[in-house]
Amino acid sequence: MSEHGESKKYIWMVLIALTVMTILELMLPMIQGMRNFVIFGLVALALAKAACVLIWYMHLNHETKGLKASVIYPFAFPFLYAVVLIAEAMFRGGIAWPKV
Amino acid sequence: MNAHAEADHHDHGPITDWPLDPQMGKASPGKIAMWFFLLSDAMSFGGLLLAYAILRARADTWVHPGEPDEFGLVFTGGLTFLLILSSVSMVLAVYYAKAGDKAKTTKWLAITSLGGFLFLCGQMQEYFGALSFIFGHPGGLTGYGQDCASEAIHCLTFGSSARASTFYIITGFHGLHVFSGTVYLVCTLIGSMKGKYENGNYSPVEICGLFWHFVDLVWILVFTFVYLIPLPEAG
Repeated sequence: MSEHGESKKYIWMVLIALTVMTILELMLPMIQGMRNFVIFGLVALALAKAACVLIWYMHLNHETKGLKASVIYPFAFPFLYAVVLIAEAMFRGGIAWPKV
Repeated sequence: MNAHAEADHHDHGPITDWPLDPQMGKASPGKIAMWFFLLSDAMSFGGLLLAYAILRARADTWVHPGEPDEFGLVFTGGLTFLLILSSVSMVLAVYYAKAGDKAKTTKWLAITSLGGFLFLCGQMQEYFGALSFIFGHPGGLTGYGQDCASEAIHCLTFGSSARASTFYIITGFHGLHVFSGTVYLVCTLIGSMKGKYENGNYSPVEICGLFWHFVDLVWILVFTFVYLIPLPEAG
């Protein structure tokens, strides 16, 4: 209720952002002949959408610095792990770029 | 209610105000525990998506003959949007729970549960063609009840290729989260109908919301990596 002074406007702004990004995601694969660009765009859009949900819908922006850090830093580990494993797969397989 | 009864009620009521912690602020122990559970759950999904990425990157043949080329992007795009909308209704439920509005909290929790249920129905259609009388595609991706040996019908059979197995394990594991999330939401909905989250005790609704948003967040990533990353162009 309004006496709590918290605005609901951000909910609709984030919804619009998520909708626009979802439509872009569905349109991007239609671009022919620029597969690396398409993949880069798709991953960037997905991370942007995930960040929107994390920050505004899960209200991470309202938490303390300590809780924010405890949530965000561990999320870096799967990414580091991915980089190491993909680099290793490319080294062993001699793949210049993922084939599929 | 006389003063004594009110004090008595206060003593036995749920704890709604936590002492200010230097690191965690006023976050309730339940909320911190849910965040840590979600982190460990994110590691599970991270592992599955990594296995998928490595299998796909190193595969000589990713799409085997007789398998569908893609997984029905428009339909799944609709499911993605449904999950985003149910996230919005969850934010509204938490908003009204904070404001102490029982009727609106209950209403938005009910809408969110319905969203989860519809997503599960959509996944049944995707897997088995359970709603093929509306959306077509009888048999779904598994080709349930269809003749997969025939060349005209494309089936994605679990265990027949790395693509099929990773698809069913990742989307199935996520579907399990949607299922448990929907059960969790219905339990929270019943609590809200009983008036458990009044008097500032909105934390259980907020914690349920964290889980539900996480399910949406994971789906955003699964949708991109499993459904959207295009196959290389022929030639």
